[in-house]
Amino acid sequence: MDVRSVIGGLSPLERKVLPLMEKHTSQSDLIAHAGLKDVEVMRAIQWLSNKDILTIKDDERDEVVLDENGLLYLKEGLPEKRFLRALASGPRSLAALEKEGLSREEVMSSLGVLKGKLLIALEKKGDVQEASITEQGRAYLKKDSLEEVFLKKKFPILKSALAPEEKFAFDSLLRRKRIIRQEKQKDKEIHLTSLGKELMHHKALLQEESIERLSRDILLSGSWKGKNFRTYDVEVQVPKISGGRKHFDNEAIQYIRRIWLDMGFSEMTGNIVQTAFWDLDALFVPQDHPAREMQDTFYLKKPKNGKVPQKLLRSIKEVHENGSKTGSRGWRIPFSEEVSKKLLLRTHTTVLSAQTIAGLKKSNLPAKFFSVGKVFRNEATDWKHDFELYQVEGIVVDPDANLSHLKGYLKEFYRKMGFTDIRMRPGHFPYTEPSMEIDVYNPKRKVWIELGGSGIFRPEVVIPLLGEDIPVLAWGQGMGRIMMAYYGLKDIREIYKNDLEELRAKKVWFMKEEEYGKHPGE
Amino acid sequence: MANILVSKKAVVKLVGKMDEKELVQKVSSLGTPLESIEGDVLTIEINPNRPDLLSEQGFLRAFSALTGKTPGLKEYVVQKSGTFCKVEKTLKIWPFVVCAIVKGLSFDEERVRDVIQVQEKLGMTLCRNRKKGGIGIYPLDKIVPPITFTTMPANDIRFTPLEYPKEITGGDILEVHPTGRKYGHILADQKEFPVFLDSKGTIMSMPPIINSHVVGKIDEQTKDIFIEATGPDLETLKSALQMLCAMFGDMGGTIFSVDIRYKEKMIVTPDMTPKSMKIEKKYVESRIGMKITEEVFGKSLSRMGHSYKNGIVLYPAYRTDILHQVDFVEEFAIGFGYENIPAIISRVATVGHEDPVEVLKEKLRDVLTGLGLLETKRYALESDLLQNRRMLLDESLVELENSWSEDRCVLRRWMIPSLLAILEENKHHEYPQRIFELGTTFSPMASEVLEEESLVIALASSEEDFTRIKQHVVALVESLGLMCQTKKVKHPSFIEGRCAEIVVDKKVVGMLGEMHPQVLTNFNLTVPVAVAEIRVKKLLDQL
Repeated sequence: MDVRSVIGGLSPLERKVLPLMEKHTSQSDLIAHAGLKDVEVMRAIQWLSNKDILTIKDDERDEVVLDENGLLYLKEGLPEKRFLRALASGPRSLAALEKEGLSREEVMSSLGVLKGKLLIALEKKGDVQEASITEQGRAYLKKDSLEEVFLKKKFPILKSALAPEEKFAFDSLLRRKRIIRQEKQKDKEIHLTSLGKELMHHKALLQEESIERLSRDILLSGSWKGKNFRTYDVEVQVPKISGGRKHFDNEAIQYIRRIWLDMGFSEMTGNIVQTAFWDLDALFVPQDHPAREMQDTFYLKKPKNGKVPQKLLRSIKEVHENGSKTGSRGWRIPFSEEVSKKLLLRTHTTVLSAQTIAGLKKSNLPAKFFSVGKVFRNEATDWKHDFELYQVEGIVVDPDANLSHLKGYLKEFYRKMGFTDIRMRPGHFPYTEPSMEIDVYNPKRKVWIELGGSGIFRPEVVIPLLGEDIPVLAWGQGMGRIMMAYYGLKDIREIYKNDLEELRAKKVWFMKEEEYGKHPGE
Repeated sequence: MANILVSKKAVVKLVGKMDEKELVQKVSSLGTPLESIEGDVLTIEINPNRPDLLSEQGFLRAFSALTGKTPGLKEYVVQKSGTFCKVEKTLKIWPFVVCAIVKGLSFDEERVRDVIQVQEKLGMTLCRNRKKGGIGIYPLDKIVPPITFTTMPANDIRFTPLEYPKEITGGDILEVHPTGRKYGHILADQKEFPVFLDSKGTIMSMPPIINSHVVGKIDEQTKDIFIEATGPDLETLKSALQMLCAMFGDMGGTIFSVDIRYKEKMIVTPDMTPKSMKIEKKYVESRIGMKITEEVFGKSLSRMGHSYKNGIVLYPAYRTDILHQVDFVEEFAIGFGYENIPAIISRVATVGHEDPVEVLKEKLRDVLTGLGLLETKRYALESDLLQNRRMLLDESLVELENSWSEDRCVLRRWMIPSLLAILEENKHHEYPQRIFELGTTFSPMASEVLEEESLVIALASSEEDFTRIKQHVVALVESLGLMCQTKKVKHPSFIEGRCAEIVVDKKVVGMLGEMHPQVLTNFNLTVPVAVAEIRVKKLLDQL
């Protein structure tokens, strides 16, 4: 490897720590000598290791440190020495010794040690034990014992580095109360690799100044000229950042709106709370249709009833009852105006289509409309059913519109949504004839996704609203399943989960149009 | 929607061997999605417009025609039985009756079960849970015609209902029998209940609730049957009877008519005569979007079980879904095959227009995300707890009649509570949390609901205060080229003296401020939260 380029990539910390490696081979040593913060040294070692300049090995060892009595005796001397010193001016009773600053415990422990080494003699005088110093004792007072020498060493001491005579003192002191103790010390053994050793031959390069951050000063002074920039490890992971984001569901909705706008459709908006008249009656849903029941539709308690346009109500009532002038037989069941007034949460955005058609004049035709809006279903929720969902709605009101066009528009829409394998099959809705169901194939999961219905509005729907039987292509499709496929959701209710971390991390809606440039349906 | 079970062998006999994907495709091409295949059993979904397909016989009849095996109108001959049903006394709510006899059938265990299922499914769908009619089938050898349809006082009725150990009264049936309990509401408040009696005076059944276990239960020995349908809707009854007779006819039975002797008139049922309708090929062509030859037209309709000649189509009597010639557009399309219809886009141009509120909403999103805010999305259905009580309010809300949950029983009147709920759910995540949402708010009026698109912003962290939220609102309003002012106002959900109305060109468009500590505590929040809520339409009106 090119030494120069390796050194060029070293940070200032690494440059400081690396030369110390000649003398020091443990992390603790490096920390002690680098003159940097502990974490800075540790970080530098880690970086150097990442670059294969050194190796790190965990190292665990025993250290000897002074305990509380050890610290005390270092100052005052060992008790046996003090005992002996007290006897230097003449024999003393043991009780008298206790008055010379030795505790009873120290007196008793020193007694054994001193007698064993023949440094004192004991004599019974009446009831009292009297101690006196021997000749060996006097000699002993003049020099430091092995233990004392040991205590005066610089702690902590590496246990494995003790000399044999130190080992003797260590053993003897360890047996005594709280003079010394052993501690397990964790450290890191650090060795240069062959690359590291090679870098040591180029210490001059390590000394060379390299620019870290480009700054205003550097730019103004031009001091960067002739200098090297520290090179970065461009492959290293960087901390994640995030900014403001639109909700992923809304991103998709904007994309869908764009598709219809591009195809010349105008946007329909309207109320979510609607009367049963607009949501169902106007769409020729018979008043005894099972979908009207409480378990499918949310009805309002407050307010309960809404306003219904009277003239239109009369003509729609007639169409339901007997077909009126539409050429139909009608449903032939009684029609209740009370049922029409009930307020509900729209069950489909097709209600907007009905209202839009009612507002059209013949001179407006042909006309095309779309909406992307919320609809409500009063049904048990599970991974693929929710009680609030978006429906993509569209109508084409055109005397020349037909089923081929319906297939054409929907095929184009789903192509732009990324689906090329589209299946259209017969279906049933009370307000369309013919009716058509659309499925798209999800090649990743190898399943057909049912997206919902379409068709041409029945004359029983169109004639009362528009005045004559003009074909109206219509569709209303759920978006949830497509969202799930695109964003990899396992549950449709995740759209409304609002976990802020997840919202930040969601991918954007991006659709690459397949076969871009080819005009469809030709 | 109802599912039926059909033998895979029977279907394969019609279409030949094919793999699963093709089979799904083929069966679905009738408008009857194949839901699942398990061994020899196909589960097929039947749309509510086609109750005539609710039996295996009905489905196979239609499917066989579609495959081209047996195209065209299937005729059913009805012979005279010579017997009658006398209509003696009827309830106002249950006035009509139709009957038929079918002879020469053979039943096995499976077929008996099929017949019971068809009865149930027709009762559920065509008869709307028996509200529009009820059906009864009897082994003919157990009863002695002629039959009488009359009413009796509830407690004078005594017979053993189906699958019940002993004789009980009509009143008891509604109390103790499971079927009685399920459908008893139809006869609620009636002193007398309808009954069928045979010529010996034996009680055959108590329609529309239940048959007699003794004389009203078909089994593997049954060869000939008596069928009746009663109820308030004569058209529905006639259709149900036609569907059943066609089904038994397909099983190999011979159909016989019964005279129904009402006091003032007599009708003969069943009437299996095909119905006819005038149809213009041009109309169908214009709706489909292609030229159709006379031959293709006739052939496609015959594949749907119809017969077409010279502008007249004959169709089965039981096709209750045909209301208008437009229905034959779909019949043609299915017979022709949806997949054979081209997909084209009209070359006539129209100009698309966007809703200005939607345009503005998207601009607001752009500005707010640029300020580093995260967009959230919550349900419009919420609770009084969130909307009022936690906010220290008691405002009138739009309430649902039939919500399944207390958490989802009102529509949100404002959206600040929604964002506080989101902050509560995200307490475990890092702060600052700066979020916004666009959605619809709902206020109750006398006989309507005022719906307004609303923008709400919430800033949550130890740094957030009145100044911070005002900075955001000012930046937003000024980005639209408008001037933003704020005017002090009091509101129970906010800290007093830190709440203001947002005023744009002298019009109040919203409010902003610091949430009251009690409100924060109610949402289990331990950081300050500053919020703003703006009515998008009011802002648009200033532009």
